[in-house]
Amino acid sequence: MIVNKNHITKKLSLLILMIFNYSCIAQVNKINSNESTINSISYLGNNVSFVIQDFDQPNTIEDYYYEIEDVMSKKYIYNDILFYIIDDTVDSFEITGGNYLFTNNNIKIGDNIQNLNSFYPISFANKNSEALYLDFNDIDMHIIISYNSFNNLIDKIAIYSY
Amino acid sequence: MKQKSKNYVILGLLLFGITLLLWNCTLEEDVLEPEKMDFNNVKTVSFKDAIALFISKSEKIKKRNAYARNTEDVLEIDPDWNTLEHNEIAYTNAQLTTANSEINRNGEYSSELYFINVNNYIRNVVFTIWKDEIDSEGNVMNGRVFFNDLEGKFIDGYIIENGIFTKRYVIQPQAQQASFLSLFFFQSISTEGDCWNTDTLGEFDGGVLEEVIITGNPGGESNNDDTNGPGHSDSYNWYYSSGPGGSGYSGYINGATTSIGLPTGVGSLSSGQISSAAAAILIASPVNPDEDGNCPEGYVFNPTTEQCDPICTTGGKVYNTSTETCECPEGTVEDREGNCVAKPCEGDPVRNPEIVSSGTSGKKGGTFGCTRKQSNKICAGIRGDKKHNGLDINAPINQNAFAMYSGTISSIRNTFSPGQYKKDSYGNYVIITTIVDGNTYNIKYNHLNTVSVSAGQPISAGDIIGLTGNTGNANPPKSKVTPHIHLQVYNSNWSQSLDPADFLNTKFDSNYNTINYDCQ
Repeated sequence: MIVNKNHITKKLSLLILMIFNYSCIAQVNKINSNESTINSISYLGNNVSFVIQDFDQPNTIEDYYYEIEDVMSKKYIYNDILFYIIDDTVDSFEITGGNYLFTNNNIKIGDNIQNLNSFYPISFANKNSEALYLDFNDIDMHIIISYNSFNNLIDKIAIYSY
Repeated sequence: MKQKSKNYVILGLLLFGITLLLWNCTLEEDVLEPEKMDFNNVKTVSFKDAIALFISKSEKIKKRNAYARNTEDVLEIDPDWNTLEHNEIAYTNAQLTTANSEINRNGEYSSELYFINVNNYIRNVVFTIWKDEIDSEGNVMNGRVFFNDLEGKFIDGYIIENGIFTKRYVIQPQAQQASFLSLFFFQSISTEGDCWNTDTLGEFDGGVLEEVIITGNPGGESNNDDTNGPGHSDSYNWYYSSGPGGSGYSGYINGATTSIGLPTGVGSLSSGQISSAAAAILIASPVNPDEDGNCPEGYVFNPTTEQCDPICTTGGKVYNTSTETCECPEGTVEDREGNCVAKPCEGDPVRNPEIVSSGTSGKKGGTFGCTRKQSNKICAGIRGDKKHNGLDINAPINQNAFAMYSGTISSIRNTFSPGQYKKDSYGNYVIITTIVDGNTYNIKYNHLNTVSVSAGQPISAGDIIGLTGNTGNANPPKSKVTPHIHLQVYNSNWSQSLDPADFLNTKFDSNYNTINYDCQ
């Protein structure tokens, strides 16, 4: 009888802890920044030379003023992918075409958003009608995976700062 | 007869204008605007409502007078409703409703009924000008102008002497209970013991007429014709204001156009300008309680002034007897919808400020300094640390953002539409240059949805500077970033950014949670 009581108490504690974690802390799944790979390569925070090496020269390079950081950046614009470069390092990127596999889960533009349920169940449960969100464990940035609410197909993957 | 009388009215007020224009020569540096007048709650009275009000009041007056001992005292008014018309008045789109009327008095006079709605209460007066002495051309040399209620009770009046408005009637305290008849006819002037006394304009001991000031009419064209002499313009306003211990009301009379080519100071008053004068008195005059001490609907009895103050019906405002306007009570400020909203504590940009979490760094990342993480950044020599140059204060979309301290708006940006995203941008912002503890600082409020102030404008602590929002980088496409004010503080020459938390009234604990909400 005593054993059963302890068993119930432990289960209840675990349940409360899970509910607390789920509702108060983890509204979204988190990944490490080095997991935010493109075709299995991590570019975020790395030198722009890796981008040039793998993607060749961009179609266009544009200057862009980062007002908050008060620095000039460059936009490396390719077909369906854009890199923001500050001080020769990749600050963020945006994927809009299906030739790029994001993370080791090989998420790509055109995939059904339902596919992410198994990879990121918390984020999937808390997605809204337009996007699913991921946070990083190690940096203060976040990922927005946008999808078309009519066909549920992913149409943009982008990284933003807070 | 009516046309002739009307001419007298115009002439009388013309002379009035002359006096005041001359006054301008010595007082033009002390120009004031009729800022005490509140025209927000002024509405036009329809002909139907004017007639209905008159009939209703007349019936009540008749019933009361049925018991009067001396029926000769009763004022009888015979309006000519065929002459009902609406007249434009200054500073408001509302119009004054007027109708010619006859009264049961003998002599040369012109009388009209005036109606206007103030605070949803229709005020009305009988406006009468009496000529006591006229010149060969019929112009008034000596006369009197009165504003009375339908029972004949005095509201306001002026004396014309030798073609100049020289005096204003002032109620002596002991005269409060006097018969209306003596008030209305004003048989003797400045005689001790009379119901009425007068004072020369500008020399009031009683404080009723504190000053008469002529100002340039913003709507008038300036006249540079040297023949008119310096200091004169084609048109001008005048108004008077009540002094300490006065009757507690103020008003202005708008407009008097000088006649170019005539000797300096000669002018005339149009019927529209007369209407404005009467409207001003109607709008500004106090409402007295009835014999039972009851105030009309829309008013409340003020035991201090023993008059009826308007009940301020909108936005939680209260009536200020000093300024005679509906104002937001202490600790609140009027928002752009006209509602009174509670101010935050001085030093806080919103009520109950909380720090916004920034991701993996949590609330720490919302604070100032090397508080964030980003692999390609270096802050204070530490790779992977990123500087957050400000303090993120939680602010739901489209709430009021308040000035933390008094100062001057030194710069704004309002080019972003509400919620408009731009990567790494502050969006719309307001910068206030302020002095705290003797030092000058620049405080910047970023990511506002709208800005409601202009550069160069002085600002008081607690004033609303705009609406909170998520313009700039605070609203990535399809994002759910917590809306916030990115608050920044710089020194006077912008060479050093400072921790905004040091300037907030509200303090935070070591976990970055709010410690106190109260104003200390």
